[in-house]
Amino acid sequence: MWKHYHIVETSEQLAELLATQEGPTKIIAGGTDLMVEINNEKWQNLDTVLDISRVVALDKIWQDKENNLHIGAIVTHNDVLHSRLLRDAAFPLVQACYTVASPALRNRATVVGNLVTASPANDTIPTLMALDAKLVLASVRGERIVPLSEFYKGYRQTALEKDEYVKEVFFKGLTANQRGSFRKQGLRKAQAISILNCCVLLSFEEDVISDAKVTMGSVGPVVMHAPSAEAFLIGKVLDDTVIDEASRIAASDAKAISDIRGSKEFRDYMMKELVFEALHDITRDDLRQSIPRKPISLNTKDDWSGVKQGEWDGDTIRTTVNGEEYILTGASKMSLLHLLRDKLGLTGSKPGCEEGECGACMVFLDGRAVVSCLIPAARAHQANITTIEGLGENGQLDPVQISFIEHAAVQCGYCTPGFVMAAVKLLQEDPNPTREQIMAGLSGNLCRCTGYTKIIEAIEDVKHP
Amino acid sequence: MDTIYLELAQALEARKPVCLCVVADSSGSVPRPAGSKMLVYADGLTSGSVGGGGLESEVINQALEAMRLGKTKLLEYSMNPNDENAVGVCGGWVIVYIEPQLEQPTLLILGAGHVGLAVAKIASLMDFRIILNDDREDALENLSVPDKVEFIACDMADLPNKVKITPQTFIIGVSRDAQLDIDGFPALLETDFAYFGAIGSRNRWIHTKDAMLEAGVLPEKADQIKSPIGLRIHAITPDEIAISILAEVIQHMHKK
Repeated sequence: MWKHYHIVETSEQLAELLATQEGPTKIIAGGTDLMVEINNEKWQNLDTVLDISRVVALDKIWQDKENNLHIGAIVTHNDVLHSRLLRDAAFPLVQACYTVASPALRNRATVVGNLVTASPANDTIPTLMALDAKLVLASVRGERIVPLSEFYKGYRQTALEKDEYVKEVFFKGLTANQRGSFRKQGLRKAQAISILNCCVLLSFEEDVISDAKVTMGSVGPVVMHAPSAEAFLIGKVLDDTVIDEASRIAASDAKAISDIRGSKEFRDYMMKELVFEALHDITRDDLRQSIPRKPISLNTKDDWSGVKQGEWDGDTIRTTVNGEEYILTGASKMSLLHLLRDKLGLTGSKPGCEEGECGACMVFLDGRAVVSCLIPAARAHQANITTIEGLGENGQLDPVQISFIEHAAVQCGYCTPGFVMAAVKLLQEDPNPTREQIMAGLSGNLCRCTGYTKIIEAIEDVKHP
Repeated sequence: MDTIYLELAQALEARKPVCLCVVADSSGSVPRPAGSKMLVYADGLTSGSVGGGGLESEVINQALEAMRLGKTKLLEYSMNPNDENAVGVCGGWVIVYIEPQLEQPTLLILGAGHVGLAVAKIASLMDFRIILNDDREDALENLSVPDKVEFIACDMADLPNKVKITPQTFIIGVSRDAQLDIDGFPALLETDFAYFGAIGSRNRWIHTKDAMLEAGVLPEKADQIKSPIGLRIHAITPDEIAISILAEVIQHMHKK
């Protein structure tokens, strides 16, 4: 874990803390990447963790006077999915965010975090690179603007200096004559790291393509453009022959590598298909309908305030769990899951994969469903948490629990608390979900014995009190 | 699925004003049976059909009026030539249901000060699109606002170029300075808004209005602005003022 945990209150404080740290230091926002590495003991000598997840100045999506759209450092993937500004002027980014992980992960995972982790498979990078996005890197020395295309220096290496943090990413919104689409190939629809992904962004004058951006991820150490395909597209009219030829050229630009997720041959073949699909998307009038306007996010809280200042002493966690207030010491160097289980004895939340993959540890944090294995315990400070033990009223089971029992949607039961939590939050968000919405809501939960049909039926059949 | 619904979904996604017309019931000889549907767009273009001819052109006119009024209609047409107002000669009658697809109302809040923020926060409990505007790009720095609020930094006069202002847009003028209103209001007055209110004392409004008239704004245009904004509930704090403003918006929105 870590030696010191800071709950950062303002961006100024963050810059100062970064400037004065001596030992290995990491910034944590959503923690969905970093906590996986910490749980797997990749950071044995980690000295300090700086939690920026409640710095309100970094939680903004807005448009400036030059029509640039700004996304602050702690804006989550779900925030992007629900932003009308971004749906209107950066739809490919909404597409990319929609393919990332599952709703509970998207409640925590930030777009800037996705950029900083710098994996070539990360889904927001190709889109933001096609949009020619720029990053604002901040430190006590001031701010500098670095184009995303110059930010990556190699596999998982960035231009960030030791004392810097990414304050925001910004880019020009799409105009009426620009269209784009994002496509991803994963092993399944949710919770999958991309085997390949790509973004195509075209500008038109009348019907003729005046500018083209084709970006491809997970083909090499960094996300890259397809320069020959871009050059080929300019001056063309987007018809079937051009789409065929452009996707073939893009695949040959990719020079894909082989790794654990796919061979070079598979990637070469699939990249052609992905670019083909993305170009076809651009000709579709109904592309926008591929993503619901209000995707299920397992979040019923629209707003939160920053952390109360000056109350964090480095260890003492003051938190509310299932309506009870707790003051806990010596619990700040573990995950929220272990705080709940080992310190409070609330063992309903289960450790499964402890990588955010299975959902067995799902709890509500300030109104949002989250996986507690990827949340530092100290994030519970000044927060409101509900676990499976907190469902139901006056000793009665929650209607979701009753329906699970009636439908025998349980076998060994280990994953069940996670499924119940996801279902309860789903029904709070939309009391009459469609089957598709139920499946989207459960996409972050894995079950190995009962199977999903009975679980879905149980949720469809919940009797509302 | 009826393809008309796909087209309707596309129009809604593109935020094109559209009206759905359905033959709800029919008897005897009619050109199209119950269940036939037509979309009517604001420019009078159509898709699908409720039967063509005199019937359809009458339905189109009624649909355009329904869109203007924002109200549904249920209309009965005779196609019996013996009837006085017959719209055809087929012999039967039809009932047509007309449903304008109203866009979500938008609050365009001018000024991200105490009152502007309070309006945005309280309005976030209701079904509004909320756009918060200020000329200061850092107006929201270190402030927490509901996620659904869209913050657009630009001069007020630039807003018509950045935001589509429609008869479903409620403009809430709560800027920090009368000069900002004097510079910004004239451009907004040229748009097709539902409601336009401005905060301030009676003196501030007289000053603002006089300056706008001097700059060439027509008096009847300036008088479209309601000032002081809000219902008289003796509000004092920003939250209270926001409630008075939103009460007026609701009153205006549901007044038919």
